[in-house]
Amino acid sequence: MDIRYTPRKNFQFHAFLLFFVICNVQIGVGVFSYERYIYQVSGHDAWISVVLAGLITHLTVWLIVRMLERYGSTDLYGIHYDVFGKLAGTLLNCLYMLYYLCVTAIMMRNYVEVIQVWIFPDLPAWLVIVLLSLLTIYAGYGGIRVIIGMCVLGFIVILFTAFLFYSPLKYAIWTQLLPVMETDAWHVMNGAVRMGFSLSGFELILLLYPFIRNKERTMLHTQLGVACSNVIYLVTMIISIVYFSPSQLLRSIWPSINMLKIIKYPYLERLEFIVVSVWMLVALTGLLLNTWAITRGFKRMWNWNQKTMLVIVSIITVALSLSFEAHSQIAQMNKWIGKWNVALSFVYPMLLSCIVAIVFAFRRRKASSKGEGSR
Amino acid sequence: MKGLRFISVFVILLLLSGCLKTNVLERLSILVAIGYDAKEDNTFKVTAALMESQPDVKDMNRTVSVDAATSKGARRKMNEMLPHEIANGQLRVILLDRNIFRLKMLNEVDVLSRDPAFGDMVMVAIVDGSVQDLLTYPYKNKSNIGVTVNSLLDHNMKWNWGPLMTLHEFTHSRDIHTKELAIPMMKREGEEIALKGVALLHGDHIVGEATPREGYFLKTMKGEKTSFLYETVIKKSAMQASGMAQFLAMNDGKDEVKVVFHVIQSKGTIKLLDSQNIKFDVNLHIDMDIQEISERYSFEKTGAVEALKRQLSKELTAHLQQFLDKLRKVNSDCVGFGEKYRSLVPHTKLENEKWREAFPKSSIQGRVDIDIIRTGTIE
Amino acid sequence: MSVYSEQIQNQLKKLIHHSDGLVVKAIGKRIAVCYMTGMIDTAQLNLNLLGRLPVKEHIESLDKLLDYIAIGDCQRFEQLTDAVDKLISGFAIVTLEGANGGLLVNVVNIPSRSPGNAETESTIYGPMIAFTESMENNIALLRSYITSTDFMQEAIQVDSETGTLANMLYMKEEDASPFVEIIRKRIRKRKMKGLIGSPLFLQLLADNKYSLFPEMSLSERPDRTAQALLEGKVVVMVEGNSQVIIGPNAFIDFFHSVEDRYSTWGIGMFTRFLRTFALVLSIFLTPMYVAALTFHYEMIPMPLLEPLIISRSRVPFPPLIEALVMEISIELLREAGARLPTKVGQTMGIVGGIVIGQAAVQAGFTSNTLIMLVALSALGSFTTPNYMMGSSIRLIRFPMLIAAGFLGLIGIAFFTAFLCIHLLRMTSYGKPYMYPMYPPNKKGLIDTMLMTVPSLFSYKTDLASSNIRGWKTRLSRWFTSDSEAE
Repeated sequence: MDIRYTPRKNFQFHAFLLFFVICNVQIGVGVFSYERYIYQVSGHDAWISVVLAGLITHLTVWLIVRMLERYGSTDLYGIHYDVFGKLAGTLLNCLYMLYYLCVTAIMMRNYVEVIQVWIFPDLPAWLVIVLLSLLTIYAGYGGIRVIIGMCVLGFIVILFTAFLFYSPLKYAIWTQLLPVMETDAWHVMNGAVRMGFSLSGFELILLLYPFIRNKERTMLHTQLGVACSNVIYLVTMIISIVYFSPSQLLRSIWPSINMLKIIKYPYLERLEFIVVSVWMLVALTGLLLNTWAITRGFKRMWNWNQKTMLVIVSIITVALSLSFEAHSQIAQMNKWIGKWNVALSFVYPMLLSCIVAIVFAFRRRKASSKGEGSR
Repeated sequence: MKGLRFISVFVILLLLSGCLKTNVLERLSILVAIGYDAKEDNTFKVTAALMESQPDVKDMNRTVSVDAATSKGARRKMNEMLPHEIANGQLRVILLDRNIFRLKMLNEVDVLSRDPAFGDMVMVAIVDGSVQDLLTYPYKNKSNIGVTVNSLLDHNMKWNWGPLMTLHEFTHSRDIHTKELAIPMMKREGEEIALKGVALLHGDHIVGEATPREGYFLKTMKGEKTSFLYETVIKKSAMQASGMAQFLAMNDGKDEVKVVFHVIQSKGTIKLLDSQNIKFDVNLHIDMDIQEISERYSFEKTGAVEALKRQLSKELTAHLQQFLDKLRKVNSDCVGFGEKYRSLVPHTKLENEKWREAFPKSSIQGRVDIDIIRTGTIE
Repeated sequence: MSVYSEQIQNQLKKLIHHSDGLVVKAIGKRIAVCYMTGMIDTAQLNLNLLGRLPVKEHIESLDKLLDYIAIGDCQRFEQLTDAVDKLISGFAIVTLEGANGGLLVNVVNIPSRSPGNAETESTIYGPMIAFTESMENNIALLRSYITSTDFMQEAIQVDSETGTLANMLYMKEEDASPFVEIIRKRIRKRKMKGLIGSPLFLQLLADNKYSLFPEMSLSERPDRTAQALLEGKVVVMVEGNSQVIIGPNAFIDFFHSVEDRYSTWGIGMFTRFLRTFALVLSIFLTPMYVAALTFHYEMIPMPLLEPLIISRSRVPFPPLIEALVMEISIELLREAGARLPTKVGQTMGIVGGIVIGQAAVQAGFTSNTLIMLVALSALGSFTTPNYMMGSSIRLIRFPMLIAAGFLGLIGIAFFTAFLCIHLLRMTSYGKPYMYPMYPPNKKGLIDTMLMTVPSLFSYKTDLASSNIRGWKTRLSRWFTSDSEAE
């Protein structure tokens, strides 16, 4: 495997499309339910946790992009090979691929659960999961450009849904945000860590980087994308704090959908039904990007055909996500994945960028000393 | 090719799964309003106003009543009586009678929000008297009682003094201890149904009632937009101080003047003056449009409008203070002074009973500022 | 008849498998003129060819013979076998005894009509003329719109037993070369049997045979075609077809009519928005009705609830069947109307529309509401300026409807997602189909979706803007002149 990799020109895309990708990969089905988990620890200061987590994300993205710029044109799989050698690199790559596999499965299951609870209690889970994976395969066959096209579409859906959250504001009690910083710093920090589960996914930039045409703009558009999803998370968090009473918020599993229940237009009511079903487009982008990341790994390491691998990966995810049924199981799985999320999209990339920085410094010194020696 | 193959797979899947439970509109008995009467043995009399379609039957409205211990039990019993399955998704109004509060059976209403079929804009109201009677009375001029009650409550909550009480608001206020409920109350009077006032709650008990005027104050203090036709009677003897008396054109011998004005805009601000002794200052600012004065009043003279303003301000301040005193007396903090206190004083950890004990002892000073924007089409 | 001409006749007869219609005329002893009857312009033949050829004089070579012929388009050929194809398409063959080969003289006159009004793409204003079946006339029409040396014409021949002639037209200056290359390659590589009409040609050139939407558009309007050429598109014109193939087309191009740019910017923009709205309406309206009435009765607002229940109360079918019946009957009406002569077709439409509509409600087949919705969505699909696209939209309504009937909103969302992916995957001559929505292009978005006035549009507008300044220039002038006065 070559460490540096430049794809053909017609597979490349412009950096500003990263904005949509990052937004979509960070905002998924999680945006319906995350408020509660943060509120559990940070209380009505949960929005501070969201801001804090957002800032940390910005920092992590900065580190990741800096690291990628050092290499020129490579992805995570290549960096692993370069830094850790073939054996350890393969192992780490497999870990990441396994992680993405689990994330895909849990994303599917979460979305299906939302549908089952809110729209069709008797809808068989396998049907939606199979339908979703059919869409994944169909779009995945179109390659990275189609996937990113879906991200643009998903972003439009997110944007329009975000406007719907204006309606609950009419019932807002703004004093519920006060007093600021009543929760102690430790709990706020804890909330920020929990936020990691929702914000993760941006590390996909590690894999998309070689495909960017104008790489010098990567930093700007990635940061903008992160900023956009941070704003959306912050706004929904604040709205749910001012809209719900504390115990309402703690009791409801999907506060964001609950908020939509209040919306009423003269020609249409109960928009949560539409939002939940249209959210399929947003959920799909997450699935697409994650499965793409996995198949990309196979392609990079062993040069296996991405299309066949996509089918195999989809079959595995279907089997995996069908293996849990009850809400408690899914919640357990979410918690478990959440821990890995924080580790693999925040802590590890930060660590890796430090290692890469050291390695590069070391190599430079070696090269220069060698140069001096020869002189 | 792939597209075709894809569609065929999709169709096969659909055929395999084509047994989802459907809710075809005309094969449902659609619940529009539901009412709960509590009985002494802690069971309910549940009355439902429904819409259902039956071919060749003109009347598609129906009301049924059942006895049940829980609301889900009532649902089951109603299903046994109805031609189609009962559907909750279009529920608009929940009516409760006074006994529910007396017998502490309010939790049944809370349970409703667990069902995703219910919307959060469902309105809650109290019926003075029996709910069953209100819903099942054979009205001559109302086709569907549920729809009627819904539109009656809807426009009064939106444009009038009726306090906004949706299911969301209901559970919200019940959940936090620093705010009490104020629920609109309605009554059947012969053929008609009318909104009578506002029930003030302390915890789960009805402790008092507020008049429409007080309802208006309540809404304004909460910061909700209301337009209101305010009627006030001013004693002529009380007019001297403000100087209003000298502008009355002719004296017809009556000793009071009736003034009606329309509230264009009003804004309420609550200030916490002293967190130790819990002192609040309530300030209402009202922009008004004079609609009616029972005697001829010379607006054109200098100072006339000022005098009227002073007089009305005094009157309204008195009315507001009266209402605030009443709230403290019955110990029903439906405005949310406690919420204000909690938000401004960090680390209070206001426990349930703590604020309820503190509220009657607090002192609240009300004041009303007035701006007369217009005097109608004549001066 | 001379011996020589009989020789030639025998040779030719053998080559055309003794088919009838061959005329061989001997001029003197050494010259023979051959042509197929019916394909030629008799007047020209008599006047400029037969009448001028020398009967008595001795002519040594074909070059000499050429001097006598008063027709410009003459070609030399070496073997009779090479000339047969031309003979069949209406050329006259002139041979000289002793000379090698002969001459092909163009006296072709294929029966054609004179240009009439555009039928399938009718507009209120703008030129009314439409292409005819004669390729030469069509090119002439186009050249009357674009008199530029950049206007390129390139003949292409397809590998098919019909040997249909086609021309590829493009502007040299606009960057059409990649598409031209793609078309050349496809024509070379692909084969198709029975290639007669331009719609079949369109399929031959398509990127993906199984796409649900047309990738290129057919047009019978010279002004539309000229506009497409100026936008840098490639036009393929097929002999014997009044419709030309315009490509590459993006999805949005199918919803543009030439009229948009003829009207003022406000009206043009409004009609474009209206068409987009109609598209959404015709795809989603009936499926939403089916989904709401089958699964999501919660979504119906209170004031609509009662009328809906009343209108549905007598219908014995589930909403899906009800909607399918209505949609299919509308399609039947459309199809019957299209097959019948215009006058009968109109009557058909009225009778079918009113009678079936009324009777269906009274018989309890459908509800009033649905009839209105179905009619609205059918209308919506007919607003699409391109008929092929309109048909595609009507077609995709059916799977959408079925999806809605089985899975409600989830079904609709699923099928929408499928359609979106499909559209994103599609290309037209290798160009993304969803451009400028995806890949997003700010300028393209403004140009195609908002601006309809050529002066605001990214045309070469040097002529238009030479005297008129934009408001910014005027404003800056005003300010600068003011400061100079100080």
